[in-house]
Amino acid sequence: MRNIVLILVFICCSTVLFSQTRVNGVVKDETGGVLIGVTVMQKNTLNGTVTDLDGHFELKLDNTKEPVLQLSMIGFVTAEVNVEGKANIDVILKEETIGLEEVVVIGYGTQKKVSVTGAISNVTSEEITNTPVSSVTNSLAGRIPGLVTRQVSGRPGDDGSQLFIRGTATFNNSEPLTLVDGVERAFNQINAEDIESVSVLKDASATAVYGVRGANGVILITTKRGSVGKSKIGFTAEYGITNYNRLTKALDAETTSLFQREGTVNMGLDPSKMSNTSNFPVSEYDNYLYRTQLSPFTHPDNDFVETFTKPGTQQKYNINISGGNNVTKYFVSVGYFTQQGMFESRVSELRKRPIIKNLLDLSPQVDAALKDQGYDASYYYNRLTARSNIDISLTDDLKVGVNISYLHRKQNRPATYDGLGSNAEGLRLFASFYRNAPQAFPLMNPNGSFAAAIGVWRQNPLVTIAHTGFRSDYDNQLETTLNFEYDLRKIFKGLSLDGRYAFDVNWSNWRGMQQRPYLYSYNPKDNSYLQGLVGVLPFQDSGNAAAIYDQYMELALRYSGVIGDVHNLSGVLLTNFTSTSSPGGQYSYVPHVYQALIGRVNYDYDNKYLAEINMGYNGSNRFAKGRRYHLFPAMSLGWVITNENFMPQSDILNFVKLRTSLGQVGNDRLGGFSYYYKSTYVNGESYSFGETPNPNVVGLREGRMANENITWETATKYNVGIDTRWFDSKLSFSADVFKEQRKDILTEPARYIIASGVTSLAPENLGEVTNSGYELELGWQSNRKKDFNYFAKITYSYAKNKIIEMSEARKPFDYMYLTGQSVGQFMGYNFDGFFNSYEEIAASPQQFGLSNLAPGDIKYKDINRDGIVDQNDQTPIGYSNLPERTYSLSAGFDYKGFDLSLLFQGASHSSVYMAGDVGWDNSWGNYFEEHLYRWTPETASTATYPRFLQKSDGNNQNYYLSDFWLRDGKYLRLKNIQIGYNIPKRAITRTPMNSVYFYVNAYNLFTWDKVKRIDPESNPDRNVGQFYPQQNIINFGLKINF
Amino acid sequence: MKFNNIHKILLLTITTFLFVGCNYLDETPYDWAQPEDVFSMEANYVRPVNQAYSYIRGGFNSISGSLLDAATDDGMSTINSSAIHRLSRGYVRSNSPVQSPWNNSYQGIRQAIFAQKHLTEIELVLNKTTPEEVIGIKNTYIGEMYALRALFEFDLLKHYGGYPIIDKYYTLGDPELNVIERSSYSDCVNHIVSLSDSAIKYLDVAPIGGSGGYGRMTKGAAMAIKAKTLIFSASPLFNQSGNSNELIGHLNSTDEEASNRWTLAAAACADVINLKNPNGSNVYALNSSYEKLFTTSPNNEYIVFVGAPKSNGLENRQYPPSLSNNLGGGTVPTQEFVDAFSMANGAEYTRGDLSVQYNNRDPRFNVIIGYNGSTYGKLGKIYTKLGDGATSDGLNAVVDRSTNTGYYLKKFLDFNINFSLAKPANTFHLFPIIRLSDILLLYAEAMNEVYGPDADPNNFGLTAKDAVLAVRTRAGFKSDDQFLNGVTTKELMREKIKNERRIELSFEEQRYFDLRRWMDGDKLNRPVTGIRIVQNGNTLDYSNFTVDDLRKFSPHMYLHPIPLNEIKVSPQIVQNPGW
Repeated sequence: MRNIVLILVFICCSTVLFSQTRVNGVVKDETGGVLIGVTVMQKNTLNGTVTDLDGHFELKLDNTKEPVLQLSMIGFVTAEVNVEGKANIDVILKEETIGLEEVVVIGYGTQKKVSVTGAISNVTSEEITNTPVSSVTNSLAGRIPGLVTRQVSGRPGDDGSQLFIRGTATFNNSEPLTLVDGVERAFNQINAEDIESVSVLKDASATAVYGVRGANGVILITTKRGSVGKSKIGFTAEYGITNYNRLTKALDAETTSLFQREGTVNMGLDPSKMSNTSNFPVSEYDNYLYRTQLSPFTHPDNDFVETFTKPGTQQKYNINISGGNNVTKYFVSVGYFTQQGMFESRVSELRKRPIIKNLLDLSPQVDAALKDQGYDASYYYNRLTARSNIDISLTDDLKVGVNISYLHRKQNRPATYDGLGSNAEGLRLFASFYRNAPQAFPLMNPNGSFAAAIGVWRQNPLVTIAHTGFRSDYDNQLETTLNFEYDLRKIFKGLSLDGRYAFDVNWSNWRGMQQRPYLYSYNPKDNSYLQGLVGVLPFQDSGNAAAIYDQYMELALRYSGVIGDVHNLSGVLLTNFTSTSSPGGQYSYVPHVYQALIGRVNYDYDNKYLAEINMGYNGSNRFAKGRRYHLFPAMSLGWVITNENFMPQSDILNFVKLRTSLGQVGNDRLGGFSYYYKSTYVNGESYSFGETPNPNVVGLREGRMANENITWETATKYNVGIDTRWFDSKLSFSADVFKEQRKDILTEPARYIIASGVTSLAPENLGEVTNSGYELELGWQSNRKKDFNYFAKITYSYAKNKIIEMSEARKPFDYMYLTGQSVGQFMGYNFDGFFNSYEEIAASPQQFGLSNLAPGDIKYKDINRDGIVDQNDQTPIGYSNLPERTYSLSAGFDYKGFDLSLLFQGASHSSVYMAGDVGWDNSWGNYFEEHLYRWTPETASTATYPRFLQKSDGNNQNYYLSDFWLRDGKYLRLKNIQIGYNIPKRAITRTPMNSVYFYVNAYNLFTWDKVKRIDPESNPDRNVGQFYPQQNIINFGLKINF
Repeated sequence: MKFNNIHKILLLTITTFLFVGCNYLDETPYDWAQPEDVFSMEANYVRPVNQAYSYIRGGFNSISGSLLDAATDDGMSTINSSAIHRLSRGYVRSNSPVQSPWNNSYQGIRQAIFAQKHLTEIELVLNKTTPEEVIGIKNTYIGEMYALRALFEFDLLKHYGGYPIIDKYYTLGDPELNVIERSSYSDCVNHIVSLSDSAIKYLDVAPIGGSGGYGRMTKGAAMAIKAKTLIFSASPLFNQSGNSNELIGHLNSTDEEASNRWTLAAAACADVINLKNPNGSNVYALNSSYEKLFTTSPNNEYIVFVGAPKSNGLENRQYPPSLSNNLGGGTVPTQEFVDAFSMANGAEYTRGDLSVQYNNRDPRFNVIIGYNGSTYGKLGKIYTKLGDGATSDGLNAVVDRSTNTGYYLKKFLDFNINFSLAKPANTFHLFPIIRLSDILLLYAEAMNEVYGPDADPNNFGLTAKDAVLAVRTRAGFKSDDQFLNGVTTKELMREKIKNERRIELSFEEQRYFDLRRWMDGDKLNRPVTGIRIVQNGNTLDYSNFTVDDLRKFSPHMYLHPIPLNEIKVSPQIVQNPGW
């Protein structure tokens, strides 16, 4: 009987289904426009299609499954339509109200954006991938209010930006904590195409769950995963041209000679002695030779920048495949990036450069000697990335995931004169462009030997680039994560358990080859050669670093539910364990270990009143026993005013949410050393005893004294914010005001009695810094139309910190204290014009007790009016090197397949210290354009630079750190621009391709600033020229989706 | 049933997770040696002891390339940017002292106490050594540490007067550290004496390790430190009648008290002079050659000195530029110093015809002064003249490197070092802190103050005059030396001794402190001069000129300022007057 019924039902059903096997339809938006490319899937199957150019689709249904279609498209609310008994349907997709369904990634979870009460900003993958850079950190610039980026180097593979969330509030490490897919990992070199979203957590409410490591803010990267549907293949290819942003040529040889002479005469020295003029001659006749270039071996006029640079190139290829069904979802991707540096290192090309060609033509020996050495010493960077994210549903309730990511990097560069050491910056290649006078040495001597100038033997870039060897660094990184999610609805609806285990390993090695020719200085007077550096025969070497292992475990119990329709309650209880080992330094064999118990409760009443409590109970083995655990609590509240009954539904004001938070977070990154609670004993000096002094036994002394009370920094943070949307959600405006008080900052205590004899004290938790500011974001997004869309967004961020306490050594005058200023505030003398006469010198406050001042020297202000300018007259000058204000403007439109987007980004209220090779005249014999306006008796009234001296160095009072040498660090740049064209669907309907997109984009295309000689974001520590200049990039790309 | 199981699994997982982890945090660092490891191990236990020696201050060109004597009327630095000019011109602040032993001495004191403490507390076993012998070795090193502490404290006393006495190994956060204050001048003197006496008790006349230990502290070194301390204690600066500040000198010292202090000092000097080896010979003797003294190692005239490996950096700095490798000049003598040398027969020099001023002077003159036409051994002659035949050695010829007084300093230099050779030689440059000449002249000074020039009532073996003549005889004066002829009074003798110290111990960081303890600061408050020689054809024109008219000295500079940090951190530490 039962069987008969079943058979009957089967027959009925199959006849019904049979008659409905095909479903046709058209998908439109609310305005009636047809929608192209809407994914149409039968629910819970892999059976699907995409709407065509007329918005039309046709699908054969799987008769064994539910006759329900899911229609989805980015920007629209996914619709489910039951097509039982229908052969033809028209579907209207509702445009997604911006943000309403949007989910953001938060610490240890996700949350609907509308219910977020903390200060969280996020960036989408699209914004990241349209910046043609190798490091994702560079593509974040200007994208997120409150995130300060500073790109200090352009070295291929090493050009990532430093990141600061809401500026800085510590003298220690202020890097944010970064996590990739929930595990602490660097994301500097991650393949941008793999990124789904980037969340930046700024306030205590968002970061308290990271407890002891959250105080500097947290950046969460989520990588892409597969979704149910047809397999999708994405392919990207890019080719770009790179060029340095800033590289200043020194003045020509004749001008340099005149200036050398002037400086030497100014010092009362005899300019006819070469030892007084940076070792090159400066007579009238010599100037004639410099000008006419009749004798390039004795009187060269080298243009180093022109001779040794070329535009670099970069290429990027990426392919990813994603898709899935009810059991398995996958996202796999392989990416390759390569960037070639801006040095011309091919000898065949160098031989064509005019200055070198001239030498070749003049001397057959040079022609014979300058040979290709057969190896590649150019700067380049290759990166291979592979990622596989797999999700498997074992049962309806249990899902597991396996994520594997692999990164291989290779960096190549010339070897250094000193060997194959790892200090790439020690090359000073760019420094040699800045610091050398054009006539310092010919690149090669007439006898075919390599040339250099006496005393600066290491400065010939031709030798470095073409004849010194090379070094390649290899780096491998393997990251694996296993995770599971267990839906416990069978125990209690809304309850789930999940966990993950991650094991990351990083290993690196290098190999290289070094050689060096003998270097000679040519003396034309007696046709002799003075030997400088001794040559080195080619030899190879290699090495490897100890591997780094990181482990992470996490287990979380979650609940999410609705009680009585209006009480939305969710929460998580999570425990985790982290162990990291990094080689090098004392105590390096013992890993850093963290343990934490984390809890969060979210509650909202009818989507009107939002509340959230977060807490992290953390333990860290960086501290002494008994001081290892601490509780970091935070709470936040929100009020969605527009959901109140008394607020009328309005087309003008769509959404208003007020939110506020306060809480505590910690920072245990206290510099490189980990075990401050233990005393150290270190090798001391050797002292000579005996008739034949024998310093075999090296002394031993106390190193750093232990501080058993050491603990983490604690940040107490307040945040008040508002999110609003107006005019059909086209206009959005958000604002956040914050204040942070960072206490217990680890500081070397300067206020201790020297008479105790202690040489080095362990840092103590003495420092205190406050940091406050605001962020504004104003955006406009047009309604989504078929033909024309546009958007614009402005962000403005301000963060200013103030040192409340830093255990500063006592000073005789209050204005000398750094305490009360910003972290990193420049301190120095105050420029008070140039002395214009000896009478003025005599009448002015004595300068440092010096007796050799002359008109044209810098005059400093006597701040304390004691008649003497000395170290007690140093005050805060300029700002710090980290900008206090950052802002951005982005805008764009798309029109019938064309699109354009722009990003302007800027910063202000910072200072750049111009010194050494890049700032001073005659640091090693070089001069720049601004030195044309130096002080001379004739130009006294208009001079903008002090008189020349025989040589500039920090011991001379003109070159003391003063505001004269600080430049305003403000800048505005066109950070990014992209123009693209989507080939009409019509043209590719007969191909397997879904879309084809061509684009051109550029990075750092224009910069407006006052620093000029170097990039305004340059790290001031590198101002001696030991840096690789930042690059601008013009890039051509093609994206195809199948 | 099913639900119960899941409950259990859940509970189990979470609890195990929480508890298993606890052990991980207990990992502690183990890859670094602690004192227990060091002081119990052969070859290592001596390292902290040796380290204490590295805090001995002094040495050549220790103040940004210049000798301390460039801040006296004897010398001038050619280096324009040298901090020494701030010292001689009075641009010194308590937060920017040019010359401050504070940090270094206290670090040395702590290191010495650290070594003493652990040598005493930690058991040490040595190969082929009995436990009794180990104790003997430990005691010697403990004695060395006492002597070094005495030396470091004497350095503090010279500069600051009374200073905070540190007698203990403080740990971080010790509340006593916050209440440290300066002890009285008298107490500090007594403390150094008692440290020296402890050292004398533990130490032998010969250094541990025999000749390989030359330079280590010995019984004689400790006695010499004690003697010098007592000399300072007896000197006028610290015996001002009516002084009511116990930190800067003895309180309200009377003539009788001062005289008693000179008596103690004389006896302490005599102890050093008469110290005997086990075989009965004197431990210390004047080197036969004044010229070779400073480059000879070992020599038994040196009592306390700064050890150093062979080098030629001093020559590079102090040679005239033509002989130097890449420097030259450095600290150069002034005309005032040149004038202070007696004639060869001991008669006082009086200025007359400048062209003959270099003839027939003190035998040490040509060893110490490099002047126009002076011979630098095998390296030949140098010329400081301007005009015809001028060289890079000429007055102000090369900035920072040529003389700015017309003179170069030849003392200490070894003319076997020739920078024109591919391998210029190296030589010993042991900087003397205390040597026998110094002690003899201090002895003479103390004896003269108590007994006058010619008496030796305690049978020390020498009168004041005998001691001075011993120094002059070694210097090369002959029997016709008239230097002390007719010197019958204490006052005349005092002036002679002062001048003899000035020449004999020139540029050895003595005069800077001698002028202070004698309260002769006015000598530092006047310009220094030099010689300009211009050649025109065959004629040389000589003229004196002012080299530096910014020299400044005020009475508060008799003592150095306590570092500002100490005053600000611990208000109970009182600053010296006037700073």
